[in-house]
Amino acid sequence: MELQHSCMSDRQRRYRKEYRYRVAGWYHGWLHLMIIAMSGIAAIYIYTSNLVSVQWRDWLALPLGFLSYQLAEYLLHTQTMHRPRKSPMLRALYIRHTLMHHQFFTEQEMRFADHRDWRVTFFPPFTMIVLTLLSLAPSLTAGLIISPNFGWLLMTALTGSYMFYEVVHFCCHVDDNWLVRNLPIINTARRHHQAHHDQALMMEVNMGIGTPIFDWLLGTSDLDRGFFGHLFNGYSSKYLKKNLRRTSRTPKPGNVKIPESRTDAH
Amino acid sequence: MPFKFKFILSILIFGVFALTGQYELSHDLSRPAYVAFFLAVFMVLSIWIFPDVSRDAPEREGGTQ
Repeated sequence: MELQHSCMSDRQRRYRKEYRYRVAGWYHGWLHLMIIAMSGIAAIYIYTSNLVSVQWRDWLALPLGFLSYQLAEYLLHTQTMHRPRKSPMLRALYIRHTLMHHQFFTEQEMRFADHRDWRVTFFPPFTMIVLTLLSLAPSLTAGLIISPNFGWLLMTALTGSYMFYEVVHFCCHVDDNWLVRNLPIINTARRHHQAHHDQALMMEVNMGIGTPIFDWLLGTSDLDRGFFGHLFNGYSSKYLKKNLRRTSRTPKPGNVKIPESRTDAH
Repeated sequence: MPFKFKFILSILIFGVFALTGQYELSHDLSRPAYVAFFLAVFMVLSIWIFPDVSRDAPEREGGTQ
């Protein structure tokens, strides 16, 4: 199944067809979504069940966790997903993201055709596991040094931030409608992310997906405006920078060896 | 995902959630403990049954790579 009305190039159309062919026949996008949602909600339920007499300082774990996640997402996206590294695992991330996800979705066509295309956007279930394991050390440390509540709330914030990322990224690739056009943060993310999918800009511009906070802070945004302007820019193109450096386009797939066993795209 | 990676992740997640479940039970939080045990099984099952993307391209249909 493909979108009937689309201005995508023949190259993109062929790539989307090929990727769909590679996805197992029984894959179901709604099931994928349910796995992520159930895991995340169950994990957050466990973490929040342990809260007892929460003090004001404990609540600081929520913004701290959210911002830490935003920074980690920004750095992972900038430094590994768009930069080929020598390490096979990190290189696989680059191949999956720059050479696959960015071929499936371009600035000409950002939309899913149906739920089976969600496979290209949602991370596989093991991501929640890896995130949980990575969250353990900082949360346990914070729990021991500050308070157990702080540790549990940090775990909650990190898991919640990952779910927030999945929702926002998903909304960036759905068809335009009244809700996503008018929902703050979501409408900002849609324009921000579509500009990132411009293959002449994608290596350096709009690297934050959930929020543009670190693009604003580190100067990698395509907008020339302040913090709140960035957060609530919506679809506006009024403040676009005029002098953006248009870097090299996606490396030709033929120039990068793709490991045969690693062909997921995110 | 390679078998070895799935296996290591499964062991780790069982270990972490078994400890979490025990911790919850020791604090008289039985419901979160059972949710932790369920979540461990659910997460491990999901990584084993979730379909990987096949490496085979449809060459006769004009693949791009």
